Amino acid sequence: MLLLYRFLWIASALGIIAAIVVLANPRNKRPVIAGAWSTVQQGSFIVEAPREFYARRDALTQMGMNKPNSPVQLQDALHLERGARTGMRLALVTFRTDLQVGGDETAPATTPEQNAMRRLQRLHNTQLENLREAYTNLRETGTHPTRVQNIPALRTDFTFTLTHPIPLFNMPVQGYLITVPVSEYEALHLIAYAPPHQFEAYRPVYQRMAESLRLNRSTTTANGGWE
Amino acid sequence: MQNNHLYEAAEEAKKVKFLYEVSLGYTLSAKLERFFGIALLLALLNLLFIAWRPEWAFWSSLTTLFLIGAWLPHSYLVNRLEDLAGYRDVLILALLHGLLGNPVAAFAVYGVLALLFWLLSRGEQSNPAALFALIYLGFRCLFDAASILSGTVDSADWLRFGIDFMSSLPFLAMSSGWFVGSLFRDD
Repeated sequence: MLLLYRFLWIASALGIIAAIVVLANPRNKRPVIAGAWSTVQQGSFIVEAPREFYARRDALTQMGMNKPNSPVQLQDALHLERGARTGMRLALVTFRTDLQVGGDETAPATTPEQNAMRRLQRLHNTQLENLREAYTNLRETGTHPTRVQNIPALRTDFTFTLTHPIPLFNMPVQGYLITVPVSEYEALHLIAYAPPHQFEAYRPVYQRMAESLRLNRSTTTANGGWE
Repeated sequence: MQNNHLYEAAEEAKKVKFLYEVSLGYTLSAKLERFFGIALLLALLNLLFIAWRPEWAFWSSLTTLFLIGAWLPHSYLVNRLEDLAGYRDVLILALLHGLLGNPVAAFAVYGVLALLFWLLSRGEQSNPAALFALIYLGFRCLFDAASILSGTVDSADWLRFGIDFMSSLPFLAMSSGWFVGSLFRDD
């Protein structure tokens, strides 16, 4: 009987080594998600997300928003996360008109479109400031106009470091921020992030999530904008 | 002199035998081979399953750890889970897994605590779950490594510390296996 056990552990150990080598093979590309999607409805948001992502409402005080004198007021936020380095954050914000602060708003606008673009740029920059405070070593790699659900939006790509108590285990993260206007004084921030080696694989996943996003208007006071 | 039975008895006494070898008939190497013969086979089957269906990695690892835990007392490598010290150690380890969220950190803290109490009690303190925890750590690291390589778990999530009671589920599964296996071991 002991010979049988000896044969089993030697053969199994060799099999385990072979299985680990096969799993570690970089040519062996697997999809990052299994393919099952579900509709998440929480707060102001209705969004399709892969089953691997779990959703949770964010505290309104997070993301560095809702500062007393900030011109941007956070209405609602949702986290769709798979892990510490993989997920998407949605934030619905309102531009406060009661605070008159300096800057490009004081410059006279020629057309309503230019005015809306300035407002969008300002909301985008304010959120980038928040991200700089929230994330360590945030580096912007480029800002360019984009479209989400055929609506003109602003996108900034960035990288940052996920810190660990042991500095050796600090991890790089790649992501982007997209700001989409929802109504005259409302906008939506989409912050998507993933490990750099998986960022390209997650790109279509985040794109589908963004395209499926709807706002639950019964919970918001704004009118106009998205369905 | 060679035929003197007193001399023969003295020579026999010089051959050191551990108590468990006398009572069970298994040497340490035999126990190790008995345990790993089945445990590594279960681990291999789990790795093949993870390679086939990575999205089920957590649950298949949970099942495998339960089966390994059930085989543990039957291989005679670890005693049955029957005394209070064993339950106490399992409870401490489960709490540490939940509070720290990392198997390596939980095992390290448990090791330091066990050593501390052993020193304070001047060697009177016994930790029957120490070997069980070491075996659990080895298999958990193997399965988590396979999950990381298959892309279902991010290495950053595995390395972080924090309260996460889901992290103690695999440990509780193997502890349950140890408990169930102990019930069915006939000594």
